[in-house]
Amino acid sequence: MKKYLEVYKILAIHNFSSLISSRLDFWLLITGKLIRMGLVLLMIASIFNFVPVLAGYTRPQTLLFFATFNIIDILAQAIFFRGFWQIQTLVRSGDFDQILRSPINNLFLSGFRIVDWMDIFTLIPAAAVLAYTFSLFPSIHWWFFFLYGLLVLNGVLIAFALNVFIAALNFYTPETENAFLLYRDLMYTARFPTEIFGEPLRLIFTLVLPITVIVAFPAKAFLGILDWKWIWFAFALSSVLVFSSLKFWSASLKHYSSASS
Amino acid sequence: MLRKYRTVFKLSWQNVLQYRLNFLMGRVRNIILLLTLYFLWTTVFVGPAKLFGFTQEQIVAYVLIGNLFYSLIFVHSDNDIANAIASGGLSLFLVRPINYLFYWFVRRVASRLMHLLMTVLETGIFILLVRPDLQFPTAPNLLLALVSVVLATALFTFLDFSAGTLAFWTLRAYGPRFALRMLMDFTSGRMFPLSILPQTLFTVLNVLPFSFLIFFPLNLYQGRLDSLSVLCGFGLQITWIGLSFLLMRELWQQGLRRYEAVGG
Repeated sequence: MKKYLEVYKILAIHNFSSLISSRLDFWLLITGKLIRMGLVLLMIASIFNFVPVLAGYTRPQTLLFFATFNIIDILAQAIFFRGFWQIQTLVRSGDFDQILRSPINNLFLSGFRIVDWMDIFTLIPAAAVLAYTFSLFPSIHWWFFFLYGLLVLNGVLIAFALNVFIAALNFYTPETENAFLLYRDLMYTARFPTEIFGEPLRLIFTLVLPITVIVAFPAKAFLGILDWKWIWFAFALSSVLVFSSLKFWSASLKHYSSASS
Repeated sequence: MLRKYRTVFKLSWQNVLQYRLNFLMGRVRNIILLLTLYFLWTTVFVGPAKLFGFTQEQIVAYVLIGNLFYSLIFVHSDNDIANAIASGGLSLFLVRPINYLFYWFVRRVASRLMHLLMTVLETGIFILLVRPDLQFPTAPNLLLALVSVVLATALFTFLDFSAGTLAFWTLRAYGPRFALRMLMDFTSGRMFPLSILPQTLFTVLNVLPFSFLIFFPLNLYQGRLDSLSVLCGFGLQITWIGLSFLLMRELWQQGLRRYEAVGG
């Protein structure tokens, strides 16, 4: 464990040095992310200038969904998304050999190799939006904060499992770029309460593509409107998905052909 | 002269079809965004008959037609141009009897046609499934909107190429390109009618080039503008096209002087 933390620290420092070498790029990338976050926030705020509720949710409640989406999405992006995204390039060029040759677990090195510092910086305004949203619920019991935190971590774990599944597809086909982007787009749908979608889409987003479990469940648990059976379902689902994604990764690795190396 | 670009067009068409799974996934992504916007706006309109100047039927039409316009206009080349500059691959084109920027324009015409065909098909299926009460435009409005879409495509192309050429100054120009993409995506009016925004911001965005990519053509399509606004709008759209063309040409010429063909 200590060795892995040390490796992670070295990789994080390396990533930071590499990113900051082009300061203009670094700050403009962050600016782009803030533009996206700010304009969607403005869009939600503007909608509430015209209507009192959206899919039965008030302005603070809708903000909570948006803030929760940002936190989970940014955490996933900062910790492992970039690493898994880059695997397609490594597999195509045959450079994935280097990951297999290193004395570090190949999944760890694949996923956690790239620490996205831009997202870590973006986490600050996202956390500020979340803190502001929390302040709109002054009488919430501490227990709901705790449950919210647990379900946010659970959401990050599910996002991790989905990323592993998609990354492992690289060992079968080189055409995974849009699969990753599809995952991102599905995540984006969770910026709004999932109640906006009719059935069967809502059911699909809960059971098949568990975007609802990742983002909406923590927000609903905080608001005290999530049934206990769904809370247990969320934890069970993350366990099953993480376990099966690790198995799938191991099985898929056997299909790596080391092309072009 | 035109034969070589016809070949480029054919090859680009084949290239799109070569990576079918990737292409299919890209289409699924488009459907997801369309669904999200459709359900979001129909949820907003549960109850009130009219909001920010739109009825529910008009906002649904705005989303669907906006999606068609987007697929035709927003086809990026900046990444390929930036990569060619950073890798030195651009050198191969500079020694050939081919206009590099026109080459990319032709390549993207092929992508645009393919995306447009798919979007028409998807939107058709969507209309059959959801059966929205679509209002069709009058012939003059449709004509004005189509002219504006052609102009918007030119505006987008010049802005997009300008972004790509920034790679002459900073490695691959990820930052400026990403920031510009976000600005174009969110202030073009694709995600939401800009008129929902606070008045001051709306006024500012209305004169920036990005609103002429989707919002202005859609306003023309839906007949929301009086004669004077149409005239001023076209005037501004053409002015932005001229300015963005000059910017692109200047960046390209200045950039070529700096180009070191590293790795090429």
